[in-house]
Amino acid sequence: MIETKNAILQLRGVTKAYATGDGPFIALNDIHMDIQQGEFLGITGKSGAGKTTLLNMISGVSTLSEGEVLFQGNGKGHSSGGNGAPLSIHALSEDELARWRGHNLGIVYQSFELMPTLNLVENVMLPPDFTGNYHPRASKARALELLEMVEIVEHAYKIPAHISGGQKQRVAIARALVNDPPLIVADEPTGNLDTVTAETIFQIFERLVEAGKTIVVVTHDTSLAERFSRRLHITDGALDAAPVRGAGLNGGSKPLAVAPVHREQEPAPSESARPAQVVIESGSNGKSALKLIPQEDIAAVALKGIDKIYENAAGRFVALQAVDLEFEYGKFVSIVGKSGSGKSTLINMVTGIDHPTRGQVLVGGTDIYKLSESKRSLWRGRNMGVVFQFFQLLPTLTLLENTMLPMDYCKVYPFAERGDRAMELLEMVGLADHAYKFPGSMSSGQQQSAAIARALATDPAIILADEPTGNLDSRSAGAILDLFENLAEHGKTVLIVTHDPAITRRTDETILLSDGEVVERRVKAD
Amino acid sequence: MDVRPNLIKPRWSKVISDLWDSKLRTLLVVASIAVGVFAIGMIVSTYTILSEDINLSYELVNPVNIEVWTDSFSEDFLRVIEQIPGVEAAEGRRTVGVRGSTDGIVWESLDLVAVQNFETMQINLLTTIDGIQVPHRRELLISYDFMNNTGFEVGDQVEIELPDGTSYVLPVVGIVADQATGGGDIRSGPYAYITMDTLPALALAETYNRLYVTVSSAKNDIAAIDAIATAVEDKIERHNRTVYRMDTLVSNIHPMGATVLAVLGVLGVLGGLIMILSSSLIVNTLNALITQHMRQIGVMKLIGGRRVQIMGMYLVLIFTYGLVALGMAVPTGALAGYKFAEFISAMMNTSLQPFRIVPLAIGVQVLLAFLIPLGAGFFPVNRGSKINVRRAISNDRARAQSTGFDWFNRLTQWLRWLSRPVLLSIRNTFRQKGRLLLTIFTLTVAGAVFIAVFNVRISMAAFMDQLSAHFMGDVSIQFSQPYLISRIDQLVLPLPGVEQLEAWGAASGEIWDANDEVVDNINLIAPPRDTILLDADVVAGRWLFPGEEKAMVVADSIYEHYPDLVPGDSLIIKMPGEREEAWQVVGVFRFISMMGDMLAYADYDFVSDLNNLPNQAFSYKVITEDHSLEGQQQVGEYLDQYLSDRNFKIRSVEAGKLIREDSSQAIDILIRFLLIMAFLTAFVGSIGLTGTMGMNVLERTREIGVMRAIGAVDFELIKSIVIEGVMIGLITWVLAIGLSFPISQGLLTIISEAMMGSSARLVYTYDGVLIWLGVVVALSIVASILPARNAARLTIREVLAYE
Repeated sequence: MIETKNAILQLRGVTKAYATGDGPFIALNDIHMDIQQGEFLGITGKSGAGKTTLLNMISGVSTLSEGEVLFQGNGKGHSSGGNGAPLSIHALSEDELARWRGHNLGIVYQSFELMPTLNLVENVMLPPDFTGNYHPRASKARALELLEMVEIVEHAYKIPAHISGGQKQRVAIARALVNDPPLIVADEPTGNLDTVTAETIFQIFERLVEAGKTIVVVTHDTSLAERFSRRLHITDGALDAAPVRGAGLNGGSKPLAVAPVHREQEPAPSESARPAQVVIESGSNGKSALKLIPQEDIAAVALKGIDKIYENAAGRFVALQAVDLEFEYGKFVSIVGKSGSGKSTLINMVTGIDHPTRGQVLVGGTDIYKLSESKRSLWRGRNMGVVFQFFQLLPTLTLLENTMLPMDYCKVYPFAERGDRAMELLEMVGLADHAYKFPGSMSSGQQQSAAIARALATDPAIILADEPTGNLDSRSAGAILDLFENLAEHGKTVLIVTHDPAITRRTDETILLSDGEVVERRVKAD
Repeated sequence: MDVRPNLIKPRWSKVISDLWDSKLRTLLVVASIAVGVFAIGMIVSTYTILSEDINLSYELVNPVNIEVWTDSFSEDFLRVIEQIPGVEAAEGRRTVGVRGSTDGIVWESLDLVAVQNFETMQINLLTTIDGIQVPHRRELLISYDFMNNTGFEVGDQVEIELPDGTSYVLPVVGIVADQATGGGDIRSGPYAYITMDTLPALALAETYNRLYVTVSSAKNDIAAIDAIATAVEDKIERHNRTVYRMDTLVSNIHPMGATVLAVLGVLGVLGGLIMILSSSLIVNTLNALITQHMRQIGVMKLIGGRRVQIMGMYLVLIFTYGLVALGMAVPTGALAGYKFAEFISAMMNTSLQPFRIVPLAIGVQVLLAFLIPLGAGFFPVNRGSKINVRRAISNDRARAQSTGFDWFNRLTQWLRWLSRPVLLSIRNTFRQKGRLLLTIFTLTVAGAVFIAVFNVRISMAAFMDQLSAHFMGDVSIQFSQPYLISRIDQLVLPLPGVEQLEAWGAASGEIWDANDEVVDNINLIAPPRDTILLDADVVAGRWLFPGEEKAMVVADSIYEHYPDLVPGDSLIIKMPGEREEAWQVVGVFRFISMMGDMLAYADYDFVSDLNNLPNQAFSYKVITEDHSLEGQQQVGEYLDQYLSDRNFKIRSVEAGKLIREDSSQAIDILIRFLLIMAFLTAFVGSIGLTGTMGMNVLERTREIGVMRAIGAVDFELIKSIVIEGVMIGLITWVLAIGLSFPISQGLLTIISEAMMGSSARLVYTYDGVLIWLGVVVALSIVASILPARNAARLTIREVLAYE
């Protein structure tokens, strides 16, 4: 049911389609919804579900394929279409939209989006400067007042690089509020923050809603559902039939849940998981010293007493603390946790992409941090396949050439055989017909499949994937997980970082991280 | 709460902090602008100062308007000349060709000039550089200029050897600058000045043989001066004297001024070229800046920033770059301009007014410093400010960026024999089309100018060699009186080191027109019919037949007077003391119009008969076995001593290569300046390439992280980027070779026309091509190795975190 009473923003039949190599991709499909004045609306859904696209429609950032977005404002800027009629924001020009946003909409992003060279006060004063409300004394006083409200006024004259992520997000909120807009939208505002900081941010939002602001938050974290006064769930570009009412403000604010800490459980040894099919390559030029030789008595990956602490001008941040883990060959392991829990940092420790502050990382018994950065690259190329969330295929190489590239760098397989091997791998991931195409002409799912083929190019014993399905629709994500499962069944050790709990059902083990600590380790029963 | 007002609006604070925080980028853009603005400012300053000061300096010495070489005359005759209407003043000089030496071994040819009274002289005033201005009896003043430095200093005792072989030792009491005497003739000087009452002490008659006249009005009107000169000539001839030579000059234009300013014009064109090249760098850098700031632009639009506001911010940023560049380029350009003017002025023996800022130069610099960057930056800024917000803030933007020429990428797919890292480098080279084209344009033009300078250098040298052939052998001996050829042959040919000897005749006269007006002076040179020293470049007609009478092959500067002249036409020639006669022009040879009088070749036998000197000559040219400068000098010194010991009256003995070196000094200096300009263009080109490689690497930081993640070692990363840089360098090298042909031809034509009054033939040398290959490869490696090393140093976490 569509409520129109006191609606500040109305979406009518909003549809957004993108052209892809596989034909049009419908990111949003016939969305009808109203945003009520004074509500705290949460829009949840998995990555790739269409949340951000929806937010872009609300803010007029992205053009519509069909439908309209109507704004009923309070008389500032382009508040209405005249005669009290709602304003169709997508009918405005780019400049009119900018003016409309400046007056009526505060926007907060996951990545804060502060101007890096301006201090915090100047960052907050920027919108009034653009909207023509700037006054040397009054605007500064207002900026300081808002920074005080978000409890960061003591850092008012620092630049963003000198404050923490949570502090930046507070500044972003202050900036969103500076022109006193009736509507604030936030895209994963706590996505990069630890739980305590995320809680602070949510408390600020709640205070603002109590003060009469309308706030729309987009998040993939369904655990936040209860914090909203209303929640809409979106799946593959469509809103779920019945809106979910959150306990939210009226139901009493409930702090963000912090999972209980469980000490690591020893995984059950599994002889059958040994990597029977891991092939030891001698390399085309006979250089085999750097090639990992799986041995039964040595863990595929062992992390011993790993601490990772980031220190910068913003202070000290503990990303990982006392992490002790071992993974055997042939296991499919998921590492889960909220954003900011330390998942990516943990996988970066294993790949040798980042250095631990303390502790030891042994991969196949090799202490990878005893190698130089350059040698570690070669070692990694030969022994690990890395899959990234955004695929990271090189755009000027075809899928076939992308797949051959690690073989060239690592000098494995004779030069003449590399093409055949790459083609076999592409065939395995279902892309043989597209081997001579460039990544730009492929869909996201196809690019990720090609990235997996590339990760397998040197026949590494270990595959690491950081949110490999984070940017894919559910169908493509399912196909990618099938591939990983298949690899694990064929003896590869697959470590996958995800914030999607659904994936854990398909993995042999699940490591749950919270605020840099392993709080739970679950082993799937056979 | 008492809040101090924030007087600078946040958006302008952003502009300031963007400037300050990206110091390297700011430096790159500012340097790009400043180099061009500096070069233009320097050239405009030099041009303006010289055009004002050299003429003023020349005018201040009250230069002669009419100079006449004639038979001996006395002070009384000067009074007669002064009676001619329009004559302001008349002075006499006695000029004698002598040679001087401080050690009796190395001799300098000098024109000994006797002046009646140094204190009261009014024409061709001298400027004291060192010592005293007014010599006493039996004392010498020596002239100094950049082209004619005798090396004599105040206090030196100089042995002066007169044409009759007698010698006298005179002390040097002063070094002076003489701007006017022999002005316009690059072969004139150096001079030694004495008082008239010194002449008897040298056993020379105390009479004049040069008449200097200034006109009372219309000093700057050559037609009026010519009219008075005709009256002067008539008067001289009516007094039964022969006019051997007459020159007319205006007072307000330095005879070499037009040449110098024309050459400066060439440098100015190169300065303009540098400015154009630097503007392409500005486009590239600002394009990269806007690309890097795209997300910020998107955010600014999100929080209310309109297009015009965002454009304004970036245009102000560009304006500030221009302002900083201007701050650097104005004082340095003004100072360098004055110093350059001072240098050229010293070469011309003129003096400058004190240092000053040239408003025109500043005006031009201000215009260029703002208009060029704003013009160059407008398009990227306009593009950036128009970007759609979603695209600006999208994470896919970087991945959606151009991957280069699709057709090129597809074509190179079939290069299976190349490894993927090399293929990646090749394709990455063509990835940013606009940036690549601008970089190629900059470096290609820089390379073409660089190569062209070497071609101009070698072409001018060939031109000079060709010209030198008209005047010299390995050793040129000029006697003060004619000697029988057979006698000199008999003495000289058996001497060690001497291979061959040629006797050359000469005569001088005037070309007259149908109205009995003098058109020009003409020097007739008569080489032996079987000469091996002359290889004249005959551009029309033919060479002389043996024994051909009243026939000549004339220099192409004849076309200045007779543009329609064709071989077979006749010219009226009047030799001193003879009747005018028609001579047939049988051929025309390429020559330069600036080498003083008109030059023509005639048959030796005919000319020697004309001079009543059959089988005799003043001038002999020796071909030595050793053609090196040392070999020439050795034989020359030996011949000098040998002939002097046998009482031959020697005017000069000169090594050919030394004369050649002296005569090409001005060209060498110009070439040096051209090379400086070429290096400046190369510098601009290298900034361009460095900037391009830096931007390419910066934009692909994430890809470099990925390469690292899949096994690329430091060497592979650096190799990948360096190959890309070297490929760009090599592409520009190939293109520069092609472009260097028209640029070489253009530069050579302008320079040879400006300096020599004739266009030289282009000689293409591979020196420039090979040196530029080395330079461009080195530049490419240096330009790419810095960003490559920086990229290799980044940890993968840093690069994967980069957005």
